[in-house]
Amino acid sequence: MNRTLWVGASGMIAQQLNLDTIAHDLANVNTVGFKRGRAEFSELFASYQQAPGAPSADGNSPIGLYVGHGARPAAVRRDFSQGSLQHSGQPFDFAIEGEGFFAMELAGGRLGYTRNSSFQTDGQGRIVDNQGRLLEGDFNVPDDAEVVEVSSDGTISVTVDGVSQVVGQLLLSRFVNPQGLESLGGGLYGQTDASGDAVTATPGQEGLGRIRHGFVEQSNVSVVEEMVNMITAQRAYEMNARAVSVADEMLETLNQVLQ
Amino acid sequence: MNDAVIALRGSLVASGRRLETVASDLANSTRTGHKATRTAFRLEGLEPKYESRLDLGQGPTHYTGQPLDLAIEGPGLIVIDTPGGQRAVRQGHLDVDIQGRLSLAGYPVRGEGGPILRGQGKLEFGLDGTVTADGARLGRLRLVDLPHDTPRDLDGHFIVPPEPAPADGVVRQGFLENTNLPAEEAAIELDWTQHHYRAAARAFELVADDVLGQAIERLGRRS
Repeated sequence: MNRTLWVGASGMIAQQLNLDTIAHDLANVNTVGFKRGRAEFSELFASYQQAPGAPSADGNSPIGLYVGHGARPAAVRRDFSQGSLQHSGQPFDFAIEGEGFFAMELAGGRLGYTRNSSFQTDGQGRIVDNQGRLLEGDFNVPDDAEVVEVSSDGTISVTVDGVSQVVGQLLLSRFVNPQGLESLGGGLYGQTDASGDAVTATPGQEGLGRIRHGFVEQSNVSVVEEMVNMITAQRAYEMNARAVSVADEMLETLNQVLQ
Repeated sequence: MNDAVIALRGSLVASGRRLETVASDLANSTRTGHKATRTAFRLEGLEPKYESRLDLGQGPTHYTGQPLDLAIEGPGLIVIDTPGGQRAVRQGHLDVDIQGRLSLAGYPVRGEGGPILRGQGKLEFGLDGTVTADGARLGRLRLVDLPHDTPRDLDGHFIVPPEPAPADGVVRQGFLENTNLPAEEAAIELDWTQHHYRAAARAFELVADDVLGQAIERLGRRS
């Protein structure tokens, strides 16, 4: 009997995480390059009160007595599907169309991988994001560049005094299992043993996506879908709370009878 | 003990079990591919005995559009290789593990000819479970049909018997299966269990008060 209280609580805890994930997604609906999460659950250790085929008073019990112990959050799966591309016209906006991440240099020499596609130059010819983190690669963008052109394979060329020159090459990285990437915050992901090593190549090669110059990638959060998920999570939470209150009332009934 | 007391004790215990079962199904109500447990009472001697039976019936599916999400329509479970042996599961959110194999719940998926390597390109699943990437065949999912009383391991995965029957379910890519317990049924089950418990408790009260009470009174008068 007491177990029902815990089983109900496990369901409420699971739904709380579900709701947290949805709220986080909705909060980031306008974050460039944001990838939504999806909470997944697994069944909590279930036990047999009586195994199928166990002997009973009249022969063998044809079916067992299987009692579950509720649910637990198993994972928050990141959905790395493409977000929609929005035209910005900015010279250092490079959206990725297809698979791949940009590698950013983090403090301590570690690389952080991102889908954020909004960059600028730092005055020393390097390309940085809005937090000042360096985009991995060899760039030399002159201050007086008039026109910046980025081809779909990532070649950056600028025009200075009417002369066009190549000043760098964008590289993209992909992983065997992007689900295994570690979330570092700020839209950055770190490589782990589960993700496998980064495969780095020019855009369009090795299954990597292509570059769309002058575009930013929107988050892939669908507000309508999140609303439906939120309703489901809320109602599921209520049903679990109801199971807990039924268990409570049954205990109350029992106490009244046995006074 | 009084016969009525024995019967009512069994009734109260069975009712508690029934509540545990529906609570567990509710806790798993948003878990992909969760299968509800149906309950029944059977009279054994004087006491009702509680029995549970897994309902492997189809749950409704919903569209996600994710290439690694699968729902099975009709009978069939996906086989995975765990250290403890082959297991079968119904929840179809696949992953690619570090070795590039399709995996599920952290274990590699068992194809007809062993593990299935992800390869590169657009991943597609045919209705019969054939896996292709950019049109190149990678393998085929092995679906098995298991009876509802198949034992499960501690993770709730079905333990695959030595020679399982093949299943003819249809694989739908980009869909996930919801639980097969409708909310109405769960709500009614909760309510009904509560009423049943109250009724049994009240009957117990009457038995204790009237029958046993009178007996004690009479015995007391005699002495």
